[in-house]
Amino acid sequence: MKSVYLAVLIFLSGCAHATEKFDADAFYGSPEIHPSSLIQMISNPKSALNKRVTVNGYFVSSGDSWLYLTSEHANVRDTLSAVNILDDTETGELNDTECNNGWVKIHGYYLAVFNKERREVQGRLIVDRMFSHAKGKYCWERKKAFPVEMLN
Amino acid sequence: MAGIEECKALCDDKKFLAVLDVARGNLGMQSRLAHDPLTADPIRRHRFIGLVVRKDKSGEYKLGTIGTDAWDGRECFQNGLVCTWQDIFQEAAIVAAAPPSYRLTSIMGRTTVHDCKQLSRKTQTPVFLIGTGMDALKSVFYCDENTFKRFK
Repeated sequence: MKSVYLAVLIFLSGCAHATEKFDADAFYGSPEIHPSSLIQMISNPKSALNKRVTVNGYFVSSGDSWLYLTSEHANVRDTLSAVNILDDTETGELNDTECNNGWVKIHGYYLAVFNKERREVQGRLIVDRMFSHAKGKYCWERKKAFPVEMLN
Repeated sequence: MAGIEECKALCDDKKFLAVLDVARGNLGMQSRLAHDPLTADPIRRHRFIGLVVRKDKSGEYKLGTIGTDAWDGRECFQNGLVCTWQDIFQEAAIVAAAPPSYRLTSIMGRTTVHDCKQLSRKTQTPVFLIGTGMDALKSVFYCDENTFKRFK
C-alpha cells in the first residue's frame, strides 16, 4: 500500500513538473511576432527593437553568443555582421545545444539596451526557442522567464 | 605554476605583473557587477569583457578602458560623449575576463582556445584570459597565436 502511495505521489509530482512551461504569449502580453532578417536587424535595428521576432542565421556560442549572417562570417568572427545573443541561463546552456555552430531559426525578443561604451542603443536577442535547420527539431526552449526588470 | 617559455619577457616583468593583478581585480569586479541583480548591465551580461595594457614612453604600463569589444579586437577611446573605435594592434597585452557562467572546462575548451589564439593573431598581442566563475576564480591563462597555457 505504501509503495502504491509512493508511486502515485511520484507520478503526480512528475505531472506537475511536466506542466511547467514558459508561456511566451502570456509573458510578453501579446502573441504578435515580427518576422525579421539579420540584415534588417543589423542595418535598421529600430525596426525590430523591443519586439518579439523570428530570425534565421548561423549560431555560434563560444564565450559570447552570436547569430551571424553566414558561417564564413562566423569563422572570422565578423561580429559587425552579426546580432549578439543574451544567454541568460545560469550555466550558459545555449553553448551545449545541438544548435551550436549551425543554421537556426530563433524565436525571441530583440531587447533594446543602452551601450554605455558606445553611447548608443543596441539590440541583444533574447532566445525563447531555437530550431535547428540541420536537425529539423527544436534544440532549446526557455523554461524560466527572462528577468522582467530588464525588459523595462 | 611553471614559467611559460613563450611569455618569458613579459611574464617575468614585475611591473607588468603588478598591472596584470590590478587589471584582474577591475575586470573581475566589473564582471560580477554586471551579473548582480542590483547592478545588472544588459550589455555586459554573459559576455567577455576586457581591456588593453599598453606601455607608455617612460616604460610604464597603463590600463585602457574596460569594454566588451576587446574580445573582438577593438578598443574605445572616449572622444567627448562618443567612442572613437580603433583596432587593437601590437600592444603589450589584452586582459579579458570570461563571464561567471564559464567554468574552467569551458575556458579550456576547444572554442575558447581557438578564439583566444585568433584574437592574439589578429591583434598581434598576447592575451591573458581570467576566470570569474566559481571554479575558475583566480585562474589566468596565457595565449598567443600558437599557445594556450595556464599562467596561474
